[in-house]
Amino acid sequence: MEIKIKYRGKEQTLTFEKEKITAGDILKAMGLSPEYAFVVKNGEIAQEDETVSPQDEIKVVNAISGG
Amino acid sequence: MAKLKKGTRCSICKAKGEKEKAVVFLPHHRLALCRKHFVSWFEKRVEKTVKEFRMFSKKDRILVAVSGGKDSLSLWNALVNLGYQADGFYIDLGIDQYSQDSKQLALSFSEKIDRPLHIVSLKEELAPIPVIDTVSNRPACSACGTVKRYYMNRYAKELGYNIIATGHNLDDEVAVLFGNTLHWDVNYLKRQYPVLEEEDGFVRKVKPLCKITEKESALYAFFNGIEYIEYECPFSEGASSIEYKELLSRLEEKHPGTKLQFYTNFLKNMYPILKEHEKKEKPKKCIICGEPTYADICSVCKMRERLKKAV
Ligand SMILES: [Zn+2]
Ligand SMILES: [Zn+2]
Repeated sequence: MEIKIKYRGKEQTLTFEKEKITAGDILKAMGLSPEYAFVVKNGEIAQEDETVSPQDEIKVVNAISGG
Repeated sequence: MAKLKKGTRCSICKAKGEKEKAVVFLPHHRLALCRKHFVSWFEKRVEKTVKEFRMFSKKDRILVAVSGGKDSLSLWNALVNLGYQADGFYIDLGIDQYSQDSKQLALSFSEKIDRPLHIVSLKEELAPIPVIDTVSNRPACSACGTVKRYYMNRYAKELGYNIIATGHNLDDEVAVLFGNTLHWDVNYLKRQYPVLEEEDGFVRKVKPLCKITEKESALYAFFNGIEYIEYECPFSEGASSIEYKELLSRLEEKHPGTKLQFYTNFLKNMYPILKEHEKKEKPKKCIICGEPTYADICSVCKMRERLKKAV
C-alpha cells in the first residue's frame, strides 16, 4: 500500500508491504518515535493504533528541532 | 509518549461528569486530555513556571524572541492568553528562503493575535548569517546565538521592555544540560537557570517553557492552529543537540519522567552548589558600542571588525 504524507513542508510517499496500516506504522517507517512525533489524519491527531488509508490526508509532525 | 488506549476519556472531563474523548496522553503526568483541556493544561503549566521562578508579573513589559518556530509562537500565544503584556521581536538573519518563510509566519501570527512584532534585519545591522559564517571561526549556530542575544538585549532596552522571554523548552534545556554534563563544562552549567537576572546593561532573560516538552509545544501549536516553520535552518544541520534529544527520548520512552527529573533535580540539587562557588565578575561596557561585555570589545563588535577586514 502506498501512503502519501506531508512532512516538514514536503510531500513524500511511503510504501508498505501489508494492507492494514496504522499511524504507528508510519512513524516507524520514518524512524520517528511517538515520544517526539505525531501523525495528523484529516486534520485530527491520530493515535498510534489508528488505521490510515491512501484516501486520508496525512501529515507527520516531528517536534525535534535543532539549535 | 506512551500509547493512548482506545476510548480513553479526558481525565479532566471525566472528573466533571463529561465524556470528551482524550486525544493526548502525557505519561509522565499520568494525564489523558481532550483538546480543550490540553490547551488549558499547557497554559496553566506555563503560568506555574512563571510564578515558581518569579519570572515576571502582569506589570512587566515582555519581549518574546520570535523565530517563527513552534516554541516561540506557542510561548507568545500562551503569554498573551494568560494576560501578560508580551510583544514579539524577530531578527531577520538573512538565511535565504528559511528567513523569508519564518518571517512571514511570524508576521501573520502577530497580525492574528493583534500584538506588535518588532523586526530587525541582520543584513542592515551587521551582515547576514551566511556572510558572518565565512569570517567566523565558530559554527554558524554559535555566531547566530551571539548576534541574536546582542540585538535582543539592545533593542529591548531601546524599545522599553524589561523582560526578554525565549521559547527554550524542556528538551532544549535537557539536551544542553546533558552536553554540558558530558563535558563537565562547569562555566556553562553555572548559567543554566531559567532566569538570568538583570544586571549592568543586561535585561532579565527568562525561559517560561522550560518545563514543557518539545512535543507538548508542537501539540499546543497544532491545537491552536498556529502555523510555524517546520523545516530546519540549513545551518543547524548535524547539530549535536538533535542527537542528544533522540537519545534522551529513548530513555524517556522506557522511563517516563526521566528528562523532567534530570532537569528539575539539577536546578534543585546541583545549581545552588555551582552558584555558591561563582566568582561574580561584573560586566563592563564595550568601548565601541557601549553594550555590556566581559571583554573590552563585545563579540558583535569584534565580528564587525573581522567583516571589515574581510572585504
Ligand atoms: Zn477534557
Ligand atoms: Zn560592542
